[in-house]
Amino acid sequence: MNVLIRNTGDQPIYQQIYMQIKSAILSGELKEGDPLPSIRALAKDLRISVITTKRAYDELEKNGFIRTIPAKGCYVARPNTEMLREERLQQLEAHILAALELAPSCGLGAENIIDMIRMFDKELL
Amino acid sequence: MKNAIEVRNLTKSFPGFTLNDLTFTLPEGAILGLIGENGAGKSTTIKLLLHALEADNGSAKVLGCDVKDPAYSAVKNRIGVVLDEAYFPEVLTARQVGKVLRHAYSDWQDADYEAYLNRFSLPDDKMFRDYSRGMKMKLAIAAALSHKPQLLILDEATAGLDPLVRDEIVDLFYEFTRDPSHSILISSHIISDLEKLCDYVAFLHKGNLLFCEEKDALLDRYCVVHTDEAALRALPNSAIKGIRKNPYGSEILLYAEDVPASLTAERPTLENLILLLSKGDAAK
Amino acid sequence: MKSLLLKDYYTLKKNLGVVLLFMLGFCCLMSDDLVTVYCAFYAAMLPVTAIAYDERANWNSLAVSMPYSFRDLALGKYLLGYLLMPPVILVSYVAKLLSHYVFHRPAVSFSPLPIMMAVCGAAIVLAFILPIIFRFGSEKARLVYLFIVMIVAAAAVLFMRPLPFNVSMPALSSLSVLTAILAAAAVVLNLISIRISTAMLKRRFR
Repeated sequence: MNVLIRNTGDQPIYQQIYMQIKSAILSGELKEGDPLPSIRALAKDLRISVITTKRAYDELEKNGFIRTIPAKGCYVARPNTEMLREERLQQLEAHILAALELAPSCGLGAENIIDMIRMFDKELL
Repeated sequence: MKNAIEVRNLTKSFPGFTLNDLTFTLPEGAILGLIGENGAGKSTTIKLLLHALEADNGSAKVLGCDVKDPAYSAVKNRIGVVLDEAYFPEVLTARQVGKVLRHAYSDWQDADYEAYLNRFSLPDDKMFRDYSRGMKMKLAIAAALSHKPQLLILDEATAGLDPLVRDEIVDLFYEFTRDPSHSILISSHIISDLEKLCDYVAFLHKGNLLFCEEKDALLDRYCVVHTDEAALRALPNSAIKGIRKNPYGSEILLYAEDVPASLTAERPTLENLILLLSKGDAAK
Repeated sequence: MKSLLLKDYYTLKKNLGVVLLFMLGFCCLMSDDLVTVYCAFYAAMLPVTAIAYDERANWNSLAVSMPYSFRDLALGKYLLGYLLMPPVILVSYVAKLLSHYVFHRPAVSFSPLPIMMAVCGAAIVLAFILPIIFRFGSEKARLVYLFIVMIVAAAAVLFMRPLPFNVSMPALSSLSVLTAILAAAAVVLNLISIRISTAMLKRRFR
């Protein structure tokens, strides 16, 4: 797993960690039961504060991505299918919205986009 | 959770300077950065914590022991201190420093000390006065870490060092706090050193503690906007927490919830936050 | 305490050798008990030198962060002074032996009393000088020290003059009474002085 911290970004560091671990879990790079580094180990390796790291882990745990076993450590939680679906649905909507925003500049309407989707769908099959 | 340092209403007056009613805590396992301009009272605070100075008022507890308690002298066995200079006698060699400290601290670790000397490639038979400033400070840090301390107190320990050496030293701090019972109080006027390292930030300004809180919460609370005179006038005066003006516009510090929708807000860096806050103070 | 003495030993190591050699040479040349007095006072000066080294390195700012009390820091310098006395006595004896058997100087007194007196005198000077140094710093205190040495030397000369080299019995008994008084004074004055020095050191810090 890669975690890259940008100091220039407008995103707080705990949020950067949260997003990157979350996407590693969603993409399947991290699987259920995989151990995560301890908060203090990650803080040391990333050279950031312990509380910043803890906050990212707390968010991850609150949203059901990881679970903490006291005195053992943090593990990737059983994927919550409902939430995963929700998450992906949001991504899908974002892509469709982006397509619809681009469409007028090519002189296309929503109908044309739907046609294109059907065409690609056939090709994929 | 236990506290490594607990300071309540600590006050100390000198002719021309007062450290006023200081209250803060450093929870065990955390790093607290004490920030402030030269003469803000950082060193006075640290001297009070080491009981090298007697407070006029208030109390300070370090590792659970009141600094006025005669037992505090023994508690210092568990505190590693690095001041702005190393202050070892000039003619001593690193090896002699080790021999002296072995008898000073109840839990001195020869092997740890040896390992730090090697890691920093400090020659152990060279006189202390012939060391470079970087080497002197590395020796001071090696000494402070070699008696199994639970608390590190660092007063401007990274000042005047080149970035490479600072980096090596900051690495040690991260290693030290891998153990959740270890805490650090670090004072510096170089904020960039503290930006990522610290869990908590305390800001001393002219002898007053302006705030002491979790760094992330602090940075979340504020926003910086860059704007022109017209937009500035539209803002209520009470909302402006700090401001820096130039002929072409101004940089304004606001609480995140006070930012008008018309302006784009940025997250402040710790350095910018501190600068703007102290400028806000000057404007009042 | 051991660590403080060890540190002073390391800082004074070079001075120490020079002083002992100097003392030995001086003693061989003169072989008078007065020389022992000078040597003892020179030894009493070494804690002052140690404090001067400490001040130069600003050692006390670091020392207060270590598991030492202010009393430890003050007491260390007294102990250093006391520990230097046995070598002084040893050197004066060696010098006397050399003087008698090598240089064949006549009429050497091997009585321990004058040496004891010198040592007690030096300890008393230590008791006066250290609180002043702890209060004002070694720079100013050096002047005070010179002044005290001059007075004590003058007094010593006055006291020592009438003593013949072949000490007669009545003189010896009066000498031992004097020594006993000096020793008692040295102990009392030093006990008081250590308390004052501790307070002075604290005051200088606070």
